[in-house]
Amino acid sequence: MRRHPWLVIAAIGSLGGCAVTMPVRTVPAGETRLALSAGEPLASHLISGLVPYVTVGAIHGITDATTVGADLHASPAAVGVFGADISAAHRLVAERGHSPELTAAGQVAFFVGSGVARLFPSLLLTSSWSAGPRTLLYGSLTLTGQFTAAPVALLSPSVGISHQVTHRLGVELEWRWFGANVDTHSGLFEGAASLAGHGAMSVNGGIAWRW
Amino acid sequence: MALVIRRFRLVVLLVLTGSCKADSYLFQTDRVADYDPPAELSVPASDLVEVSFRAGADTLYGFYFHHTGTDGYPRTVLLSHGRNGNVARPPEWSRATAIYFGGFDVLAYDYRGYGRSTGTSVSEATIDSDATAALAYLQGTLGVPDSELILYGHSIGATPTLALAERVGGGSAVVLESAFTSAQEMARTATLVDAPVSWFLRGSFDNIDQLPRIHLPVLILHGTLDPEVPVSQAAELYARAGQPKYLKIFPRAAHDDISEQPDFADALYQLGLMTGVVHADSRRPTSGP
Repeated sequence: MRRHPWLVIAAIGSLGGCAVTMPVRTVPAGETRLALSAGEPLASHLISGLVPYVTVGAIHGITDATTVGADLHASPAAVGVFGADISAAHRLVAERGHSPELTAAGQVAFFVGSGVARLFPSLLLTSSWSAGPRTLLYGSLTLTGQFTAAPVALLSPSVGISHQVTHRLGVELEWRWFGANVDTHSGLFEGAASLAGHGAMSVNGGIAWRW
Repeated sequence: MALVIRRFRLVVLLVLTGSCKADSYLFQTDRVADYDPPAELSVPASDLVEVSFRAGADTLYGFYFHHTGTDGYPRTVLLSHGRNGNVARPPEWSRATAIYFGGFDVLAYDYRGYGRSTGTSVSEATIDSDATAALAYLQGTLGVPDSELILYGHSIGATPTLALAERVGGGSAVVLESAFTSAQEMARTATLVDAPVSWFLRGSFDNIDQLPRIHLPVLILHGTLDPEVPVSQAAELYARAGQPKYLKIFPRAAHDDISEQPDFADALYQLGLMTGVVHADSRRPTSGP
């Protein structure tokens, strides 16, 4: 299989599409969690030397229903780009019986490098179900906007599992279909990570440490 | 240990200053000690010569396909290939021979680091420099006048081709096969988001902005099934090119196999028309031996 260096660029440049940077649920008031996230496109079999997308950050419970967070995006630094995001999440509906908990979140990601800046706002709606005392299953829909190019909005469904391993340590594994509304059957990925010729699938993992 | 720390500091410094770019990853060089062209596409020995010429401190190698008889057109194609392979391997060899059998002379060369060529291709600037050296060889050593020159670029080779076309001015035609509009647009097909390509590359490979500055007939060839460069980019390039221009879409072709399509002969016929070596009522050239 030939190396596909564009994917290295793409992996660096997917700007958060391969990262878990927003909480599934809000955290209790006053609680802070440090978070490390890493992800990469499923097309990684095409190349050697893929650069995973890595973020580090923290979330903090303002109230039991509202959590704020911020992340630094480490991977863009490899090409001299500063990347960061801030986010806020609010619990709309608490889990009750078989009804899932609904959480809405907003995020603004900001990148600057080579004298050029980009801003990517996102809205996220997450449904989560308890699957045991320590485990959550969830599905979410993210709408990411961009101001400088078509398409102006990227729709990204995802499903995942969040598990509290210990009192302090939580892990998260997610499958995401980034830009599912965008035709990607051709292009640098050659449609390799697309689903039905659309978007790019990625697998993302996260670790959270309760402070 | 001190050396390791110093190297680590250097890497950190390079990253922090944004000096780390991915340009060199673009070039998938295929180095060989000697060329071994496919035998099934044999060109008469009298019409084929391996050539070499200087490009700065490096030596570039390639092949000159030259009709020594009276069956060829008085036009020579300077062929700049894509980012993979070398001139003696398919599809580069197939393309060069198909053009030769179509009646044109061809100079197909390898950028530095490809085939037998020495050095390393690291940027848009280095392949531009190599194309310039190939043109100088064509004009100087082989004695091809500008008026008989056809500049032909495949994929990433479109960028140095257009750079030459802007400088030469007096050439006969430009051919862009499987060309993309810009590195920015290609990055967008991969990332989906509008991340400035200057974050990743020093070169912009900005073919679409270069095209309006070209005052030569332009022939654009593209495959509908191209998995790397969407065919829509060919339409965008065509829209930006000045007259005269011609767009030929190959419904069964992908990125590298246009010259292997049965209707590639039609494209060469069109090239003959555009360059004035054939007329509408003359017979069409063949595309095979």
